[in-house]
Amino acid sequence: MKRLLVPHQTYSLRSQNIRFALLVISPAFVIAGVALYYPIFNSALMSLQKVYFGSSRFDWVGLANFRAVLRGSVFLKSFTWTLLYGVLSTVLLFVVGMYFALLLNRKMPGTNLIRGLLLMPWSIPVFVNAFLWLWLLNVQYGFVNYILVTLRILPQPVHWTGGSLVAKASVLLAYIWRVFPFNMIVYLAAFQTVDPMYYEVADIEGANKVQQFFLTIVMLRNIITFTALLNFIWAFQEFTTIWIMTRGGPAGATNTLMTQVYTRSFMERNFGEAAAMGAMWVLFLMVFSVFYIRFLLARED
Amino acid sequence: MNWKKVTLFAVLFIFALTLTAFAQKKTDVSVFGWLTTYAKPFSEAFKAEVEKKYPNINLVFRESIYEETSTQYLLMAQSGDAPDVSYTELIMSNELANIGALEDLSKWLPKKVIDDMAPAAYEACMFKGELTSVIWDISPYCLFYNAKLLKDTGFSKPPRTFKDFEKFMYGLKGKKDSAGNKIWGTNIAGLDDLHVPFLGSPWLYNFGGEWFDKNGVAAINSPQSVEMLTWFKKLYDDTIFGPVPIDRETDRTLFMEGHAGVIGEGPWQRGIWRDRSGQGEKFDAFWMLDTYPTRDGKPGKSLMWSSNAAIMKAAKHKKEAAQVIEMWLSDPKVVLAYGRLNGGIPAVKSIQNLAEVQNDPYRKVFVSAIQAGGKLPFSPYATLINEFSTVYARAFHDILLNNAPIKKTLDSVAEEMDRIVKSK
Repeated sequence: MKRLLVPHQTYSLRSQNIRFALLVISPAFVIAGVALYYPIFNSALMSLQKVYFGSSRFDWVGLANFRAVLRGSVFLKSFTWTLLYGVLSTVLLFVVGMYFALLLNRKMPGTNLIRGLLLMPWSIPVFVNAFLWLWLLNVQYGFVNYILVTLRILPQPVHWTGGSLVAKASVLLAYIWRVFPFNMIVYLAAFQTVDPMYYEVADIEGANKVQQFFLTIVMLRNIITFTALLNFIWAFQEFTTIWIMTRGGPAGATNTLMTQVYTRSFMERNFGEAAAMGAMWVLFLMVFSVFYIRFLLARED
Repeated sequence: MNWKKVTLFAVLFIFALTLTAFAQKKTDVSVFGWLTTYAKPFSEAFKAEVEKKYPNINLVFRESIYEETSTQYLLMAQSGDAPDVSYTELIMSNELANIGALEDLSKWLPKKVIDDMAPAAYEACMFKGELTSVIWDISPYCLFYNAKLLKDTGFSKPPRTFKDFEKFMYGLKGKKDSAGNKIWGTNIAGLDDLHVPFLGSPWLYNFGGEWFDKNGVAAINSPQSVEMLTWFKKLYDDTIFGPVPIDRETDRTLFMEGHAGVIGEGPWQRGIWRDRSGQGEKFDAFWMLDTYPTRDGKPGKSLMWSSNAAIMKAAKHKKEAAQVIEMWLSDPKVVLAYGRLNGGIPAVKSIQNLAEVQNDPYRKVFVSAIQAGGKLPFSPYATLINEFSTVYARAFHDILLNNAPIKKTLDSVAEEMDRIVKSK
């Protein structure tokens, strides 16, 4: 009953505040509605339709697009590679990022310059990085082959995007090269938050350098998990590097869900099946996001 | 001061100025496509000619990436934001005509121009009884051979039979340039799926294969097709064919820099190389041209590609667009300029019969390829080229790189192609 006895003036003020708040946030809602919710809704509808691109015609086909996608081997293959790409890149980004962060955490001359140089791959546009690696790895004119053959490490040039395994390794390399500075800088910043007292205690207790390293890992576990989750989500959405370097080939070896959805929609013009793939992909990411949010909440606790 | 006279004079002056402004106002007529990418000098000359003949037109080129043009047109058809002149290929035109997005050009072009079109070109452009585009350049593919490498391997002219071609290829095995770079035999650029069937079609036709049989059933698993891929596989395993996959520009660079023995290209390629080599016409001595080899040495079939022009129903300046297309198709000055710069084969009889075309040895080779025959890739379902390309390119690379069994792989490609046809 007490709640009903709120003075009229206060209620009016609250109501005014709500109206003002709604007014202020409505542009954001409109933009999100047009740019986000409508495309998602439309895409969900499209997954149940056969779309005739270029005209407004469409036919309802129910779950036929989902069945077609799941029946073919391409979806499963690209999904598996996407997962593998996500896991491998996350692990490698941790290793490379941590290595450089530890290296730059020492006090030595020129540290700031080296930090700046190591940040460069993160600052250049994604497509530039992809083209850069495409040309570095070019079978005939590439710098990598030139160096490896000149130093007699390789007997002859390797076509780095011309075989299933080497192509996978090449796109991973290009992706890690671009993203590792992010991990490096996050870890480096996190190192500054660790109280030196812990290391002093560890020293007194007789812990060696390796044990001290693992102590660091334990201290930074939240940051590491956070960056790992981000790395995985980014890798899962990666398109530009793979598309520019291999178009998902050869023979579909580096085809991720992203490249597959693009191919199915804009190359094959099969928007229904592409939307069905997208829907399944969103479902997977939603499950993953739940895990991600739960992790963040647990971290706050 | 007589204010009435001053006011009258001012009003008249403003009126005259407005009239002049309107009289001088030019109409921006847009041409969408990839013309300026590969034929920049021609597009500049074309613009000048059009604007000289039609002073009210300001020709504006809207550049597109070739691989994305088809999708762009379909999006334009749906959105209504169409260019005035659409530079297409026959497959693109048919795709657009299929959704009712193109004007019937017989309503816009003079009858004498339409009557002048070569019958085959006219027939090819008819879609459900309407002239939905016009071919302004017929572009079969032929083989450009590195003249020096031919000579080094004992050939004074390009090989005509498969047997001689293979001899030339194996003559290049293990060959390197002075800097130690490998020299390859030939290649099929396949980074983009579309290029694999596109560049593979002439080989398939000359081995006696087809994409589909007379009943419209996929025939890519025929013995001839298996034979062709077995041959490619052998060349690949012997490090003559390759590297696979590679983008088309790198493939062209390999040839231009003397790192490939032979490359399949259309008539436009002469202009591209003249431009990129920086040597102009001098670079013509670098290569020798011939049709694809065959079993018996007769001129080989090619794929019948064409450059077309169309007007979309959503175009804003159709009358002016038709004037531009008319010049592009039948103005001897424009057509011959394109031929000189890019080696195009005219599609109208009156220009085909001119001495400049008849006596041009370069164009003669392409004409003999046209006469030998050939079709669009995946004919009669050429409009589904994108769908088929991803399936075929994947199989092609699987065979070459992963040793996938040829017959079995082609069987599943044929099955998938039939499924795609049925689903459409």
